[in-house]
Amino acid sequence: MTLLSTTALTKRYGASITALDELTFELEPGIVGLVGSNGAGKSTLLKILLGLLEPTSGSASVFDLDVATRGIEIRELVGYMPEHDCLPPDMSATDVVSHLAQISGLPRSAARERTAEVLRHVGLYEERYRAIGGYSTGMKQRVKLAQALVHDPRLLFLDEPTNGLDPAGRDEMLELIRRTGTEFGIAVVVASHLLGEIERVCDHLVAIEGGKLLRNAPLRAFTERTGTLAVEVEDGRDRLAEGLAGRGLRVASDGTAILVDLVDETPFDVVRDTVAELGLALVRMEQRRHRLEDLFRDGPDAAPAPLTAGAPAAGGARDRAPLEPGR
Amino acid sequence: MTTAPSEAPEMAVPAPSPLAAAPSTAPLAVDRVSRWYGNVVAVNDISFEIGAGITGLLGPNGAGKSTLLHLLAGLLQPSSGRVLVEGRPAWRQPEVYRRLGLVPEREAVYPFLTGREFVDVAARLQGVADPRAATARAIATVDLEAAADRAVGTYSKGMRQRVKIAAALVHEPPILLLDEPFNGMDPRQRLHMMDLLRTMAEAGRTILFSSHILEEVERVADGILVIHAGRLAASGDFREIRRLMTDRPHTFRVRSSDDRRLAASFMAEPAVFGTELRDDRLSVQVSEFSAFTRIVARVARDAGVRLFEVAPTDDSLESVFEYLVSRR
Amino acid sequence: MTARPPITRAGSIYDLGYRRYEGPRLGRGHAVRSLIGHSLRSTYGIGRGGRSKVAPFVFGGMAVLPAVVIVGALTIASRFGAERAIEDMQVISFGNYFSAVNAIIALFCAAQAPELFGRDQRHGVLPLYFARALRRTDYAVGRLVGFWLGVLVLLMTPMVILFLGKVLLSMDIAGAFGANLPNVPPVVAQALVISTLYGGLAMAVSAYTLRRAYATAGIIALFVLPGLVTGIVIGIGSSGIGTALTLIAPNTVIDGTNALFFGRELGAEYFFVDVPLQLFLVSTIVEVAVVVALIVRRFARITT
Repeated sequence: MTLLSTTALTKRYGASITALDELTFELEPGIVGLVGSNGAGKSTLLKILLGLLEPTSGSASVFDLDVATRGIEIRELVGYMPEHDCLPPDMSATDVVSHLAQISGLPRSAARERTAEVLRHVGLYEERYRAIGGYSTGMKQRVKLAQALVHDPRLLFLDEPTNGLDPAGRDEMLELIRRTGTEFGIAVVVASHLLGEIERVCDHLVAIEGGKLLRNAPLRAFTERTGTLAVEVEDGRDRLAEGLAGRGLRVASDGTAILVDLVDETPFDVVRDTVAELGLALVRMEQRRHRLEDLFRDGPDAAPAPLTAGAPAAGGARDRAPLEPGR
Repeated sequence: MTTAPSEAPEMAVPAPSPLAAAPSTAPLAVDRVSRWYGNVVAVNDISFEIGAGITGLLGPNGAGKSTLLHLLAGLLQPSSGRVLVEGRPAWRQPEVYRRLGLVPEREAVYPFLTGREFVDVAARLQGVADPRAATARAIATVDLEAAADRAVGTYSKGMRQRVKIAAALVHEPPILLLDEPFNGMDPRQRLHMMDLLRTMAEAGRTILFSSHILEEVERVADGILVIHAGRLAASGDFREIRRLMTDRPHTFRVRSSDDRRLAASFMAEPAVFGTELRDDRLSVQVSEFSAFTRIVARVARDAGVRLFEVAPTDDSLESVFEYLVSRR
Repeated sequence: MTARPPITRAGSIYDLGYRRYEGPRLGRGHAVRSLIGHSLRSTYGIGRGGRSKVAPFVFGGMAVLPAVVIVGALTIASRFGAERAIEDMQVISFGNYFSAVNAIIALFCAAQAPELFGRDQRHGVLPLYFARALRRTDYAVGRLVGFWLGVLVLLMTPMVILFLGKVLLSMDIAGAFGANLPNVPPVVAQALVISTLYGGLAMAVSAYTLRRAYATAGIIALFVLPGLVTGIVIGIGSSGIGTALTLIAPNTVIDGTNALFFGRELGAEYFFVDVPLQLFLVSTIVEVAVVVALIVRRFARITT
């Protein structure tokens, strides 16, 4: 079942700013990360899907409902956590969430009960009775999430949910989002600038650049293992490099680690044995993974410097089929 | 022993100040600085020195990071202690301001000015020799040429950040202070900015930036300063800091061709005090980091087990930070 | 001897996980009614902390005070058998009560209308409403109706007090009831006129003006300036423009409808006006329609 889809969706602001340019893609339910580059693309897309903004041309649908004609039905099924401040400072969390629950169609007593439940799920306890003006950023973000969840939506749109949160707060919010997507069984679209978060929480990625679709793929497609093994030792890096090259491996260095080309599984044992023989302290031995940010780097990845004379740089390893050793 | 009249009389035991003998000429030096507002102590007896390179300033919300940056920029006066920029006190010294560039988090930018005008004003205020050229350079550096002649009010958050950075760079200061500089920037801009900071650091500039995005700090910073409730909790290279946390056992994750056999062999080693078999890997708890790293390859080889992956699990900045701000 | 219930040795952990909502989902009507109720409460600062109750209750008190005073005087007078005399004094009665408290009603609207539209816009709350199954028109109308009801309550409360006082304190309750009953339709009509006109104008200004101080000043200006201009215009001798202004300015329009409903003449200050009183009612209807259209348009177009 399609979660949402767009067809040639375009949005221009005035003559000069094109936020979305003939955007066409489809998504299945899951936890989806939405990344935008150069412009207001991701927020614009969310607003169009919610019916808060009209596109210049093209169409979009959520749960197979056309955004242009059946916006009301879509909004009954969707929860939205905006990026900016949106809470009245002189009401308490319970009052705001309960009021919005009623606006979403819940009868008064059900609204109160759901509000209490949802505020517990997001981790607001005694604070919920105090005026929102006195809340920390973390608490405000939780209230925003709570009002998006209170009417039990089937899909959540979260716009920069960790904005302004310190590391502990980010951690908790990301954990909450993961639980929402997995335990609570609600489809989630997270719009974020922070690739690290998306890698952590999402299982699918949509990347928009200059208004056009850059990628639409499961996250593991971006974080596959490469054909490079990185080895770090506490001291004696040069001796290790020599030893490995001496045993026929192609090695390079990136400053902290020695990079070994993986053609098959033999290098694993060679590294292990060389380290043991030389009596070196092995800190790390890990197959490098691609990172989401590789998508946004300009130009090819810089090839690391070759260490052994005559051995070509190990930069080409990425183009080879990634090795998935072990079980 | 009589205390000198300039010493704060309420200090019970004046510790020997590292800077008392010879004033430090480090780019940024902070000596027993505190700053309070009535009963609220925003910064509490902090001392450190920073040199060329990139230092990350970390801490929970409300820990005192912004206050510290404003103290360093000479915009706030320390309630006690000294803030020295290249050996000179920072408070209200125009010559010192020329050596600093500050990118504050909150302060608004006049929305009716264009980007170029805003940077130009900054250039002129700093007495730059050729403001137009300097402005053009600064704007090119932050990649804002396309939008430079639009009013700042029309900018996105990321663009406003970049224009603030351009204004802080226009007089080419050797010291840069940035408060959450990447806020609102998209991934490409972030990477670009991080590269920019690295380049500037390698050219000899001193850069201090505060951030909540630890994976970025980990990538770009040479060292960190961790502030918690106004106090300095740690400083330096975070991996070294981790090593110093001896009361916290290290965990390694290991993937091999035979986890169970390997686990049994590890348990025979004194450095290891716990192993845990999970679905796809082995988790090893060790009493001492180096003791384990010295034996891991040998043990695997002797047991005839192929190693696919060995990595410390809590060696990340996230982990270190979490520990630092959670202990009492 | 009753059998003891079996004590099981097993324990239970209750699932506190997230539960789906399977209950009823009421439609648009419920949403709009909730919004109206919320707006009504906000008009009086209920549910919004102590400070926001000051203005509405102060003005509310002042609007009700004359009625309370009169009833109090009547109570005392009835002890001494002098209620007839008090009645005859007719200082303030149903017919001219609203004129007397006109300024207070205007101030109440000026103070409270910005609370309803201005706050939501200033704090960016609109996306939270519009991202729900609530049409933009529903939002605009819901807030407007809530405020209108709030002003209506303000207007009707003293009238009810006055009515009850006059009826219950008289020697002949049934007779007094009959005597005062004819006052009810004009009072209700006039209350409707004032609440929709003043309320609507105030809400229109606050829909377009975010900053509270400007909105309040704007509303007060809207009520005060036309009267001043009329005075100047009449002074110059142009009764045509003066009459036109009188038909438009809110505070004079309600004088006109008041005269219409209570079957009286316009006061002496309106010597230059020579039009049928029904025009004032027409003017009211037109202005209210325009104002509602403006408000709906505002929220249909606003970008969130």
